[in-house]
Amino acid sequence: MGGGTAVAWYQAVGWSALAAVVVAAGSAGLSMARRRSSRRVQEARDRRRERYRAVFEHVQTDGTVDPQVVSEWSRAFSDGVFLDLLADALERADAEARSRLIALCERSGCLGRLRRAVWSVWWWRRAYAARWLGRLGSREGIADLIRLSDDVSFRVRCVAIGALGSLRDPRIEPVLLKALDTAGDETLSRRRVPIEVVTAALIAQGAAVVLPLLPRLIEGPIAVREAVANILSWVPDAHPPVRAALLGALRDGDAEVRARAAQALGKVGDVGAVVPLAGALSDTAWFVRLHAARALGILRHASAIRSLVAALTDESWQVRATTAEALRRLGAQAVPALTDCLLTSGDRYAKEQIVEELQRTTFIQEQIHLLDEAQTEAGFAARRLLREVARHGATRILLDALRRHPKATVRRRLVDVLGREQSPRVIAAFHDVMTADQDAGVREAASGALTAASWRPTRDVVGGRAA
Amino acid sequence: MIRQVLLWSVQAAVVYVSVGAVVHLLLAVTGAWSVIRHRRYRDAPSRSGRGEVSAKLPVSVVMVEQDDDPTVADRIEALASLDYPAFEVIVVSDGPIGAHLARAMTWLHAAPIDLIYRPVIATARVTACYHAATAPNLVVLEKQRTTSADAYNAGLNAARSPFVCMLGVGSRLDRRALSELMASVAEDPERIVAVSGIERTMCAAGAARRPVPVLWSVIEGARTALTAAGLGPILGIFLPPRGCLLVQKKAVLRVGGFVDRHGAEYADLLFRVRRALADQRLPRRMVFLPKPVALIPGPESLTGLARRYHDRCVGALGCVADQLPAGNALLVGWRMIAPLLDVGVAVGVTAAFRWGLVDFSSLLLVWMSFLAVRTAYSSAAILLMDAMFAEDPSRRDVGRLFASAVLEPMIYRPMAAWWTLRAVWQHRRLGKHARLQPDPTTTPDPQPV
Repeated sequence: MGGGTAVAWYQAVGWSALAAVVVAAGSAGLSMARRRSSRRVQEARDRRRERYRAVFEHVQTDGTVDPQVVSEWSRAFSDGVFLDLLADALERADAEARSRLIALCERSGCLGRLRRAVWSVWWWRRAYAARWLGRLGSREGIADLIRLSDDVSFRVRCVAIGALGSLRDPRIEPVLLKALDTAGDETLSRRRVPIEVVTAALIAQGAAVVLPLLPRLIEGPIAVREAVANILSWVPDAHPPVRAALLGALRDGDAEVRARAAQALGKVGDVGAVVPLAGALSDTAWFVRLHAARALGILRHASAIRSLVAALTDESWQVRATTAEALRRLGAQAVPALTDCLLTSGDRYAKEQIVEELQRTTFIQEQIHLLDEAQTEAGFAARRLLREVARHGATRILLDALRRHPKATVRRRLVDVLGREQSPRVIAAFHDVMTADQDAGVREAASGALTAASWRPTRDVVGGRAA
Repeated sequence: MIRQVLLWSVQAAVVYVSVGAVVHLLLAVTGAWSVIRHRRYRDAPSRSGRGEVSAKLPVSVVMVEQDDDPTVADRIEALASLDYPAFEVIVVSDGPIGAHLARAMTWLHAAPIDLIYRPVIATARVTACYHAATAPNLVVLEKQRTTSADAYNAGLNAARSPFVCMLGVGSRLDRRALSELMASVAEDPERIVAVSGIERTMCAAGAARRPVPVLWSVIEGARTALTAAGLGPILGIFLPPRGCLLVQKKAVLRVGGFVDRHGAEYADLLFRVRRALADQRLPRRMVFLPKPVALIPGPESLTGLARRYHDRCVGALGCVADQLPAGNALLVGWRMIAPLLDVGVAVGVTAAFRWGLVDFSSLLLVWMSFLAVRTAYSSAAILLMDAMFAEDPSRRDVGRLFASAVLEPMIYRPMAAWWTLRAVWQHRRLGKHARLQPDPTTTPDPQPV
């Protein structure tokens, strides 16, 4: 490279490298400055938080409030740190401390400032006022919140509806019901308050709003029916009209309504709902079947066992898992039906599926423990079921229990349960038990089982190590 | 004549770097805009007329464990704390269960059970299944040692959900990852076949400070995220993920599952799914989410970085070669050989300047693009990640990161070009399928049907 060319190249590379360094240094400076400023802000916030925390502790523990606290309170009401602490304190405080905090807000003029902010031209001021009027729960503020629930700003309306949900007053119920109807009305041109916000507000109102909601569950638009069913699932009410409405909703055309109704019926604990819920286990929507199985697990009624056993072969694993869990909750009641199904069903895949789902819960372990009570009906039923489970290839849990169960009676009966199996895995386990078990009876039973049958290798249906 | 051809080539190279510089600057803006827009969209009140659904779509998370990974217990624990209500975890041990996984299984009270394993996709033999009593949604499969693609296929066979989240070797999921990924799926579960998001590079376990190779990996990851976020709204998943990919199980089964590509399995799968669904005129959407979803392990040394880069390059070149007429394959192929092109252009234009084929302004433009624009893009990517994750590393770490961004075009890029050249050479020498042929002496037993 010639001298002039080399200099030019050095210049090009030098300028480029310099530009790169300047860019990187500028970016690093920006990054550092952001960090430094955020750290300083954080430190300042921490200092203020400590100061306010002392004030809060004083107010919450001591009934008397000196004027200095009132003036500090008034000054701090526009500070975000203070407001965070106040919101936290209002949420955690008991009734007495809460009323003290609210009284202090009133004395310091904060409530008046909030009520004036309701009339602000800026939407964020109105939203702030609505949020804090709801938190402070002032009765004077309810009229303002009702007015803000019809505000021109979408965000203010959302906040106002949410704030009304946390208050108790006869004037609130019609407002929330109107908001629910509006939220479900798709013909409105104005942006509606999200139905989740209205639903949350109505759930917070509790049982008081349940009865006026029932007609909407029957003849409202889909979104409203879904919301009402959701509310009823959160606010379980065992009154006959509610139960009747929920049973009707179980036949609704919308799957989400049916699912919520099944959920609500489970929480209500209505035994009369067992048959409709068992019917819902064959619904076309998987989440309806899921909630029906979950509800039947809560109700624990014997008449649902057949349907639950059938649902163990559902195409959705969540439904299968929930059904298996429901059957586990039913305990000994479910064992005969499961055994019958495994004995009589001609569908091999269904039986394998049932055995797999049982393995995924603690059902089989519980049945193994019942072997200790072999003289009782439950013990016999458990032995029959476990024999069927072993016959369908699921021997690992049984063999694990055969090696580790602390009770010799159980181990002996497990040898009996597994005695007819001819897989190499079982033979190996019997050999182990015959040589290493502490109990002579178990060793003898294993030896007997080994000599009783002529062993042949069998095909393993699952990914077994010994197959 | 030769001089004329050389002149055109040099002019084409100058145009290439100029267009590249403009595209990078545009991508920086669109990427940042995409991230901000997505954040505002997710945080805004819902606009739908319907409320929340009563049950979320279930997901199966498939995690592959190889070489007795010492972090496996932490990874399983992290999966257990995901904030999604309906998921199962399938841990596939490729080879006998190692000491660390065995310890984690003891801690979780996992016991052997007989699960139904239907090999819809042919895999090596699954020798045992374990189920954890304390974590009912966790299953561990032990299979004969083969490849990570085979392990993914085994997990896919065992997965019971319509959507499967494949987790790369050594990767971790962000706590909110499944919620974020499935929120995209819930918008259109029939059409969306794959979702991925931003992946961050994490420091090697036990390292007190990020070594330089990790810093370059972090910068490359940040650049990839910015590019993917910028192009995501138009091209979907343009750059194949490494740590986490949520796929529709039906679509993966349709193309026969994963194929071993030495680190480029996800890219290969996405190509084949896209092509298969296009051939069958089926709806398909691949969504890139400009949100953090996964953490991928960083290299421990420069050798590790070189090996990883080389393997990925060979794998990607293999799958790109298979799919070449497709536009997306061209883009990915171009991205793989971009270091080679960049370095080649810089050297070529300098030589052309020496021979008087270009003037000083062209030389300056090429070197500005090579050094300054690249550093600016890296800095923008770092700043975006910085703002997105709101982490607070020390001042020294920030300085090291930006210093590495300056050095990256001068040191890392030429090294990447060399690794790419070696990968291209190896790919050419072995043939595109040569590395994929199974060795008959070590072929494991197939899983009986």
